[in-house]
Amino acid sequence: MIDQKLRILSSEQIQTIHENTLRVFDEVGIEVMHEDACQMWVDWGAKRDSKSQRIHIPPTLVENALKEVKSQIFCGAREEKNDLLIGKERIYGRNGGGPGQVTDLVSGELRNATKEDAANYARLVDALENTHIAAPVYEQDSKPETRDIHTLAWMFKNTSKHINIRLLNPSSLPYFVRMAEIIAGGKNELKKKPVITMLESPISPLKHPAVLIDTILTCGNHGVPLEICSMPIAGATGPITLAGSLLMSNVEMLAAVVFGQLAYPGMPMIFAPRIMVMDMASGYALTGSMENSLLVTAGVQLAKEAYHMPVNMHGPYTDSPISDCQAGIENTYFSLMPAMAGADILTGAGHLQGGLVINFAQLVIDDELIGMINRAREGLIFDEEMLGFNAVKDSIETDNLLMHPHTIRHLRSNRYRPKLVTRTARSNWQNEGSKTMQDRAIEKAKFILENHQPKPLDEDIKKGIEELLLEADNKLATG
Amino acid sequence: MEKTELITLQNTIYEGDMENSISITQHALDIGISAKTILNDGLIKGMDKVGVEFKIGELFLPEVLLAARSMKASMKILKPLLINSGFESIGKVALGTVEGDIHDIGKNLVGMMLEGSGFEVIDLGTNVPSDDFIDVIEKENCTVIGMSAMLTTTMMMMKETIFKIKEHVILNKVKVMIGGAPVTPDFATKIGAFYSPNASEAVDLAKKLIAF
Repeated sequence: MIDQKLRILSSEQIQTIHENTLRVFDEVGIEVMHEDACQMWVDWGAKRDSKSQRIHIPPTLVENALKEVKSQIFCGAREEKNDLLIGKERIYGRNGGGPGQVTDLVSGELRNATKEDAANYARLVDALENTHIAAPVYEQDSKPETRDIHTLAWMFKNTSKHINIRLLNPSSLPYFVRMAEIIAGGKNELKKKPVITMLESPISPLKHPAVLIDTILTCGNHGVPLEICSMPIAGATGPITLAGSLLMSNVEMLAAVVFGQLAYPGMPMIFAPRIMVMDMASGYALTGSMENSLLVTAGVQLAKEAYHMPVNMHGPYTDSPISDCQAGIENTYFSLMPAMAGADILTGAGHLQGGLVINFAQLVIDDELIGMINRAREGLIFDEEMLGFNAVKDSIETDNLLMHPHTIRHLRSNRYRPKLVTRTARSNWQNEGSKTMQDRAIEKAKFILENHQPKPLDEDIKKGIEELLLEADNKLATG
Repeated sequence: MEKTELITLQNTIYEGDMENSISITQHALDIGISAKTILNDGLIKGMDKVGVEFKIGELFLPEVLLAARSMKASMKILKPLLINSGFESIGKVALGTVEGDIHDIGKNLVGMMLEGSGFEVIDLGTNVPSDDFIDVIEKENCTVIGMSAMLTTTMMMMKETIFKIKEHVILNKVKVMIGGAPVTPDFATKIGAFYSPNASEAVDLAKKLIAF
């Protein structure tokens, strides 16, 4: 593990953000668009503006809530080997989720995601070694009212890894929990082994919508980890300055954390301030600029140093619509900076165009990038053996150290071996077909999809899920 | 005298200086320039320059918004006079973010740019159900509808909304233009709509559609 983490904010600056967050709570407040939640805040001692849903959170409530926060979170999976402890030391990869469009692996064309894509995307994640948490592409075949529930089912069927998913429809919330319970084996089992993490967001500027509140309460009640993700757009829904949007995001984030911890003390929550930056010429909300990268890095510091929370940041993220040099550059700095600051999870592998498109080959490339980033996080080991004093000493006699016992002992430790990069003579590369990294990634994706089968679900579980889907379609879907 | 006044007005609009846009518009009327001339040779010419420079990336979005706001403030003064003199806007456009979606920055920008180019804009707001679009077509006699969606998930609601509009009105009579981050020209064609990638091109598109 790296000894010194990347810090772009000083302790004083972190304190400034926190103090000003409390000042916004006091002077401005948060709009809580949920009557019951407003009442809960008031019962806890927060002030509510008359005739509105604006809540002012006093510092004592913040202090009390922060005492309850868990710095490590257990995320269970269908297969035990895929269980994760978030917030310890190592960094985990989670693929990009959310879009309804994919780039076709064969034709390269952009098209709507099908059921098959939803299944394949999960299956690909299941096979990749550095993508530990699976998030969905939302297939556009099923009815919009129950699309998210069907998507979760596709995920469970096609990967035995921990799943991260967000609602498309607030009415799907109880079905998410019930499906997770079927997988985990019951209500208590889900608490012990939460097989999903949910994701929900405040709305910038400074609003907590009802769906966020309901999700916090449901996750708290069922022990399901919840990723709180605030995404103000610097220059549009947040201040144009980076420090300003960091403050805005922190207000929205911290209010949600405090609410969750007061409602369900110790509920597993993940900090995810993922601020966007508006390109003021085009109006496009950027996700891959260097400014974004600075902001996620600062966000990691806030999570870790101010609130001692697990943190999930946009990792590989790019504004490029295709898998090109821009994607490579943006994905790299965007992963490396938050990782070196201490991020626990990097989110975004497989995304292109600011998270609007899923590209399977890009997922394979980004998976390898996360592998490299993970290696970077491991840093250098500095004990007597690793320092290799004797090897240094012996080098004057043997001239090189290729066959030295120290070399032989450490041949396979210490080195991450990426599989998609070219590390060979030009002639070899030409003999192998002069393939680009993208060519090799497409081949690897195809190979996995042709050969990899995830651990199947037990028959009774499968049956339970089918029944649940039927019930959801009958109750929620119209026409 | 008249010419200097109009050029100054063009500049205050371009600079997004609302206060001076209002006072110069008023002053122009006071010295006898017609409302129609002030609109065409002052306000719209100022906004045209804004549109051109925005398109090439010289002007930034907030500067466009300030200019559009100045234009709107001046229009408030001119509108009663224009109506009295029988002047009509170049067309009526109803805009809304489709049901399920609350993102409206892009839609608002399109609205402002359209107003800046002489359109009358009816803003239906966000999370707009298809019935509201149908209402506005029938009651306001709108011939161009603009729909926006920011999410790949709500983008599909555009398709459904257009489908429902088709059930009520003859689509030939109404043209639908769409925009938003996930929207593509192909998608627009597939659902029977017209696409523009940004606000200034949305104005060009609306001008074409209104001329149909």
